[in-house]
Amino acid sequence: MSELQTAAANLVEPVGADDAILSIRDLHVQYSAAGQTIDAVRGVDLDIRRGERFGIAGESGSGKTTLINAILRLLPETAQIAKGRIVFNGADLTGMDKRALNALRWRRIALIPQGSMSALNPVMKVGHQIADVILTHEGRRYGKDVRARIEGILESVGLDGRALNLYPHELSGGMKQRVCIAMAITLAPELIIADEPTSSLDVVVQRQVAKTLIDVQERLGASIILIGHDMALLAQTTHRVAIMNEGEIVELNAVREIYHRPRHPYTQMLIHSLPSTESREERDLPQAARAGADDYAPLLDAVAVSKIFGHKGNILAKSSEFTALDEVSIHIPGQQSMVTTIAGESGSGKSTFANIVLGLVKPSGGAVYYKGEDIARQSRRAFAQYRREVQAIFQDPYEIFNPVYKVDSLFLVAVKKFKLARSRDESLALIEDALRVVNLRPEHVFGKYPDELSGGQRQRLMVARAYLIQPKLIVADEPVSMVDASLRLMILDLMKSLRDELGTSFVYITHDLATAYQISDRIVILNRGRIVEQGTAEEVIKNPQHPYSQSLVQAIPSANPDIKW
Amino acid sequence: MKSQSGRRKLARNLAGILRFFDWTFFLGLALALALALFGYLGQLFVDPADIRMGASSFSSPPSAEHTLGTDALGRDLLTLLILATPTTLSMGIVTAVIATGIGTFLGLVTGYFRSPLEAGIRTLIDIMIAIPALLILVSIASFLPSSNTLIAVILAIFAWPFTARPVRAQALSLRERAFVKLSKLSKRSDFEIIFFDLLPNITPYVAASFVSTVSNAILAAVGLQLLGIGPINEPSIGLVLQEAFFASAVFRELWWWWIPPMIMLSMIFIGLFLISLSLDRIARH
Repeated sequence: MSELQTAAANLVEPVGADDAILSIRDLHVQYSAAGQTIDAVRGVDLDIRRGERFGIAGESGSGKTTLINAILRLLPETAQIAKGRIVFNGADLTGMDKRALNALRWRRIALIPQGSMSALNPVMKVGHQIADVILTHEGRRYGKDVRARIEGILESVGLDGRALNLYPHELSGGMKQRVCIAMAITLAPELIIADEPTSSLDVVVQRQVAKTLIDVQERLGASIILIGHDMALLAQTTHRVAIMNEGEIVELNAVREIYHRPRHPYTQMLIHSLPSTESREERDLPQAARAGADDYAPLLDAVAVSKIFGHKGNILAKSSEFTALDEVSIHIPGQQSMVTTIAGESGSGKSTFANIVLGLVKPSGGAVYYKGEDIARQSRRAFAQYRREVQAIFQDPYEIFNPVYKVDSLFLVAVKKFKLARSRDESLALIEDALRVVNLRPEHVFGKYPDELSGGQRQRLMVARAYLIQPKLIVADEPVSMVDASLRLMILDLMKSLRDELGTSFVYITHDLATAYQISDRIVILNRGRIVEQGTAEEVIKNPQHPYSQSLVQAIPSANPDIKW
Repeated sequence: MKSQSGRRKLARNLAGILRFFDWTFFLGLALALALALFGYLGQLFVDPADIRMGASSFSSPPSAEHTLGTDALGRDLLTLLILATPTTLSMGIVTAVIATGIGTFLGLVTGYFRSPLEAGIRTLIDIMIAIPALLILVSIASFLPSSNTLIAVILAIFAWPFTARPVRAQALSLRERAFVKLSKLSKRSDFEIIFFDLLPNITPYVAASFVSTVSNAILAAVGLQLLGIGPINEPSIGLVLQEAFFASAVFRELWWWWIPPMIMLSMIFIGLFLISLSLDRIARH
């Protein structure tokens, strides 16, 4: 009888694995708005072990951020924990009052928020922001000992101790991220929750920051929950990974199992959609085209293009000149449709180059020739033809729509201006066809305003517009950097089929060398406005010559957990 | 059946638009509309002969015959105020139409294009804002043949920079948005971009600025009247007040002469202020 009682008690009082620091049982979180309830988290079970790095992966809307907000009890007022338990070190967080939670947060559970670039107070020195954490939680006064401790913490995340006297705007993105890590580890918490901690950083810095994070976590012996959408990054940093989809954990396993033997179809899709840097399908290209210097008339020729922003100094103002591009020459052959990648980190000048090729920004020096004509000096008629044949896919799906118009106008303007159709029916048929190519149903998007659509839908519309116009050259500026894995796969496949079936060439602007390797024929690496290396995709990724390209290639996280970073 | 669903759709769209506005807007609109109706509709029911000098007894308090009493010149004050309202309102509206029109156009153009001309207009805007308009107005009005239209035009010349500056600031930020790049790629011309892409995005700003220009113009016109240099050939609320003060209505305790026009001016200013407050909130949203 007593044994049965114990068993029954265990059933109602589930305690996770013995070494679990955090156990979640059957957690449901609901959002309610305008009389509707949406289940954002549905029956999640989790055990985070001591000292473990645990990854939670999922696409946008999968519920991963809601899950961690539930753990921290930081849910917005419209959301509530409908059911379930969150047990941290034996204490149930779901029933805890505010005071107890405040004592727990930061001291024992710390958060590294998403986009921590903006998490720092811009008018407060870094040292004071860290001191705030110490003073609030330990009730001490600021003094030499606190200062020394802050210096020590900053040094432990790879910053100079003197950084405590700097304001956030004096730090680079990677340094700000380190400060956020420093703030999180100040009170030596047992659990660190990091929400996409490196998603806004360039690859080289991303690797350094991720390594710092792992390093401090191991020194503290803390557990860490890493939220991310970048499966390759999780492969490199975690022990176990949970895959979330539509509020449920569809698969939870050791990182090697997940990557080498994914069981759930959704996990398989995520893993298979990862761009690999190990192998790619090789295209049959004429040797000359591959070398980027064929004898045929070039489609696009950028000759020594420079761009200087700002203005020269005078008596009243200091010179604010900044060289964004410095004599960049790129040749896109006309005979064979090709994908040419311009790769580089933020600030490398790659987007400026895209804008110059599109004729949106005038170069300060050099010229861009389209079919032999200087785009800055061509006749009206030639310019119209160039507009028709050179189009773009832009990065930010929130910015590409004018908020006062329905999304239809994106297409209608293009149809009207390029005279793509003679009648209303014809134009509708064309638009519907373009939407079908990106898997959108006209009735789901027509007549809607941009804010009524998801980011993914908007990005698809952007791609559909390019398809509708069917240009000869598409400048794709980070077309997949803000989209989910499934959509990334679709857009990249679509780019390939446009290239092969319609003969569209691409200038693919990206920071992501893995997708560049998968899709492009040639890769050009830009650093601070200069070309440091260019060659076939195979050459540049497999055998980079320039030290900068080497550091970029090394920093690509491999999707294979066995290949260490 | 179809027209019914069409009507329902229209109702839904209307409801969607109304949702943007809050009670301050409707209160303000009610005040302004009440005055407009009082003036523009009231004209149809009064006899202009009642405001001839000496048409009735002098300085008589409100009675059944003269609802708001008469002034020291024997004019029926209700009739006078009814006929004065359209002049005052029209002047504010004419000024605002001219000023907002010029200001919006120049603001958009200087915000969108970058050229030496743009720098010139920008400097002009800054200089115009720095000049005290009333001072200039007083000197101009004192030697030019004064008419309400002329005053409206002069007011507009000094009012447009206050629209142009915020519109220009908005255009400067909007022109960097990706949808402008996309419109260029769709072969839209610069002026098409200005009018189809930028203008709709700043409509609330323009509307708010229009409303506050109306109210500022009325205030300036009343100010001129009180200084005794406004046009005297047409009745206006400012003129009624000026005559009241000139005749020492306050000391002679002829309260019915100066309190009603004061209330009407307050209604105009409060009403327009509430509307522009609400529009401003929408613009910042």
